[in-house]
Amino acid sequence: MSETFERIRVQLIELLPRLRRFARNLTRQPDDADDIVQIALERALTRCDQWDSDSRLDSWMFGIIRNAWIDEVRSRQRRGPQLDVNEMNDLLADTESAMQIEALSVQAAMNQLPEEQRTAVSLVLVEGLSYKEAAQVMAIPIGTLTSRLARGREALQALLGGAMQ
Amino acid sequence: MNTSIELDDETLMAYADGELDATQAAQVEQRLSTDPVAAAKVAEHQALRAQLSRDMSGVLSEPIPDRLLAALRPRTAGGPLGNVVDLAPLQRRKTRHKTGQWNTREWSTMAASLLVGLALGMYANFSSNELNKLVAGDHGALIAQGKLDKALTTQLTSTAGAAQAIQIGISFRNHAGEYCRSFMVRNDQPLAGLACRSDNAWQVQLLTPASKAPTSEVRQAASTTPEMVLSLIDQQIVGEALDADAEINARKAGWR
Repeated sequence: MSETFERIRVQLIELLPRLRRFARNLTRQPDDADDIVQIALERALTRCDQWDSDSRLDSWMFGIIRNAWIDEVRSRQRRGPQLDVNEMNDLLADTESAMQIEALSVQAAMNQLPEEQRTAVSLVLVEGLSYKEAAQVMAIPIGTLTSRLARGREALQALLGGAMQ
Repeated sequence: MNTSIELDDETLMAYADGELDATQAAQVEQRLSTDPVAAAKVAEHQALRAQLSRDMSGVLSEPIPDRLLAALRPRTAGGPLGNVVDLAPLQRRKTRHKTGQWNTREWSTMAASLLVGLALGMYANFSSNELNKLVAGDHGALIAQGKLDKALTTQLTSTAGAAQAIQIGISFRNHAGEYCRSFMVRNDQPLAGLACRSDNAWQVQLLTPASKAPTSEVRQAASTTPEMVLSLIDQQIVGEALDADAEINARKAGWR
């Protein structure tokens, strides 16, 4: 049991809310999100020696969460078609109270973005990572990150339309 | 002032996101003062960013599901208990705690239980068989078993004496309303700890080396109860420790 292990474990407790938020934006489903976070926590703890302690733990975790989700999506594709998540979101959206509608519209708009743009927007605009950090999480060059971010932003602004001030 | 920077969309976005260095940012700012279209675009980027972080913060205040917290509890999988030799972390952790850097939030969430694993690290030379007789891993938690489970379940605090291999320190209720009991295991290498009753089992919150106990009574005030255990009790106790009658009643009710 190394010191790194303990440090990571304590810090992960603090990070949990943000890890859940990122996973929720990524998967678009709260239950899926928590499943993925759980898998990612387990992976992180078994690989804590791979964390570069000079780098941000949140970035490292976002990368693990993203990889866990990619694995999950692939395994679902092998298992065959499932209920489309957007369809499910629409069903859920109808039951939400009026109080939540404005916030939901932002979430709904996010959910309509292609996964790559959604991830870029989520990492930079929601989680506050730098372009460089976000590019590392997604394992893409910065140029690719900025173009995904720009397209994601444009789409969101279009979707949110008048709500934007 | 060099104003050669190009105000393309990418630059405006990078400016809005604080990605430009000071020189570039200053150049953009100068251009923005004379370019209302570009300025509006920057404002739009920043508004979107603000809206996203505001509207996406709901999940942050939701309660964390137990299964995620459980994933961060010390585990025994991957090797027998007490199989790891690393004294340094415990020493450092103790020091940090003494200097107050270990904050309340860490204690109050669950980090206290992390100490179990650390403390066990001290016991590399404590036979893992011995430890496995006392505690077992269950979905990331450490559960008391064998004579420790029996002592926690049946033994009263007042049952003091050299004959007992395990001595109960104090019993109390924690913030979750669970019964918790501190204990001391008398061995060649004594152990002290705290366990709370949850899900019909004694969940060991802390297990740490103790100095040799005198053969007489071991109570909360005894110097042999490690400071780590005492601070954890301080953190978790609600109200007073159970008196003899309350303890008997709690035992009768199965510590529920």
